[in-house]
Amino acid sequence: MVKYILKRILMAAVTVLLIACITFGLMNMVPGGPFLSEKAPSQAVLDALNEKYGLDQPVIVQLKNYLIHAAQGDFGVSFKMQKNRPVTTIISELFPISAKVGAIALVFAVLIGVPIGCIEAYFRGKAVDNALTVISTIGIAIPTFVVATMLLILFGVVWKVLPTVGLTTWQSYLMPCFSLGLYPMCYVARLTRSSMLDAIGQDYIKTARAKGLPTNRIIFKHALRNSLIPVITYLGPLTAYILTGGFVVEKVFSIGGLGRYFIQSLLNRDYPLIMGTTIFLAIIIVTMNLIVDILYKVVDPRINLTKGVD
Amino acid sequence: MRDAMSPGFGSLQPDMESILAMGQCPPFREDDFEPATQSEKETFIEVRKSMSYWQDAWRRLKKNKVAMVALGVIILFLLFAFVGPLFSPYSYEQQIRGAENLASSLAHPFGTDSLGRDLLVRVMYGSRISLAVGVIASLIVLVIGSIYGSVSGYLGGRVDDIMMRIVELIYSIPDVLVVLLLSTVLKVPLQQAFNSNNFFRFLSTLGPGLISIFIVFGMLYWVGMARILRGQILQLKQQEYVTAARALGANSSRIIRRHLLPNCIGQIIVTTMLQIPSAIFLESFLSFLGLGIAAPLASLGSLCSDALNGIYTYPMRLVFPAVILSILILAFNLFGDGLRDALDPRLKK
Repeated sequence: MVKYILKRILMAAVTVLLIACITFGLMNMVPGGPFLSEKAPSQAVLDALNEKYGLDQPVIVQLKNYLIHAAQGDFGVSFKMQKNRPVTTIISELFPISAKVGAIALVFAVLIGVPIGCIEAYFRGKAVDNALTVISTIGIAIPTFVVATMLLILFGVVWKVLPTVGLTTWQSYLMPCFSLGLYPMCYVARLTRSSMLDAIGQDYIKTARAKGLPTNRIIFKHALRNSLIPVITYLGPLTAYILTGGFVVEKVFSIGGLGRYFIQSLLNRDYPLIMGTTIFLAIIIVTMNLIVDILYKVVDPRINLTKGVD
Repeated sequence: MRDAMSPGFGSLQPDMESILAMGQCPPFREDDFEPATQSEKETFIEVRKSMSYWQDAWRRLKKNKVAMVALGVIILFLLFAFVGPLFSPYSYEQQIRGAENLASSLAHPFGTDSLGRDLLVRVMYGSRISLAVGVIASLIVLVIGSIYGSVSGYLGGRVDDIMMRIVELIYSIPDVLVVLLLSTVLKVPLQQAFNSNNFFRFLSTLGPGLISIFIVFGMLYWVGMARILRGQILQLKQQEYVTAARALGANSSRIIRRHLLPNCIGQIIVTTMLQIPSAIFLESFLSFLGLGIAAPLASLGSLCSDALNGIYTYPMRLVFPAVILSILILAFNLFGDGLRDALDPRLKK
């Protein structure tokens, strides 16, 4: 088990390193330095600037310096968006806003998606199951920005019942969180349904039934425990989805979180900010995958039994 | 109601009535023991047409109502996107003076945008772009994924180990982040390439966003296909016909091309098919954020993005492309699912 965890951590570290290198390499590919602007500075000024920021050194040395600084939590300063403010400060200011919306959406997706999946499995083949399955299939096919904009039109423009901009009151959380959580919710529901149907076919469920336990207790207690395993493994991709889906939702509802800011920095080519945010988001996603991988082993003891004690 | 003397099916008690009735069968006729005549024999031989794999799959697919409806919708969309513009009096970039910001009417069924462009034609072209992106991206995935997966699975051992480690690594890279980065970074170098080289010029209309989508599909998205194919090939290469082919002197590449890949064709088609909606999804996501297709071309995502600016005054402008995009993705998903059930019935739950 310890060996497995160590292996996973190593793998995650390699991934983060790889992403950092890709990001750095891509940003270096762009012709023209960061100091190029309309009024071209003199060569002496450019040389001085390049020396100050270490840009006169070979790329490999720059990469090494960048990685060392990044490992210490120093991603440099923003070039354009908020001139000379450290990227880390900007991220720590904006990320909590995105994280709040994302966390609510995540909790919503799991807390609603799992029961829906159970209900579908409970009423397998009946009208309730069919209706819910149709809804969750549609929910998977609709892109997040379509859900978000349609909600905006209906509740914000036509009926005017919900605030459309920013996050001021609790009502303003409803639309962003719902549109962000709809796709994962439907996905979780489908996952739960199919793994629940697998579980229901197993012998231990027959035993429980033979003992005379009521059906809803069998489904929601005995079968649910085992059906949750695929849902847990989905939490990794789910986090990645919510972080990137946040870009769209924050754009539609004008929320000043990290997602919207990241897209703006992409459009404005603020390279240190882009690099810092990319690496930061990648670390979150990779860490989440790591936790999920380990959790998966902890939750499902069968995986260890087949492989023996390691 | 059954009486006690004739217990139902599955009962351990003998069914007395039927035992007694056995003796009362009609008496034999005289010709009952004659050898069968030629004409009689022929009526027993039933020639059934042999069914190929594709006919069988098509038969199964036809029974699946949802998949057939989805197929119909896809065909309608193909017509809408590729034939539709021929019947429209406007072009997608034509700006009609004095016809700005029109609501739906007979002349402009979807209305016009703030520059006076007919939205119906723009949506048609947008669907064309979205469909083309989906198909091209999944073809890229098909080629790279199937080559990588089959080589890895066929060679096995150490090579397979290393190749699969690479796949795992690529799998854990957040794809959307890389697409976003690439589309930003590629903008300038691609623009230079377009201007300097005639070969690249025809690509320049697509814009860096689309090209970076293709590059990312080529770099990152093939891993799913590679994994699936590797699993298939690992199973198939143990089969006798592979041993037979090798005994007859076929080399590895011939075995993979002629024997192994054709036997994975179902999996390959289904995976490619399901890649199309995910590519459309990704393209619309990028275009919505303003990093995808370059103006004046439009895709469904960029049309939604354009409409977002005037959402309070012209909400309908957003509804058309958004609904069409959703239906398109839904139809491809449902058809892909149906195709999987038809081509590989073992996978059906």
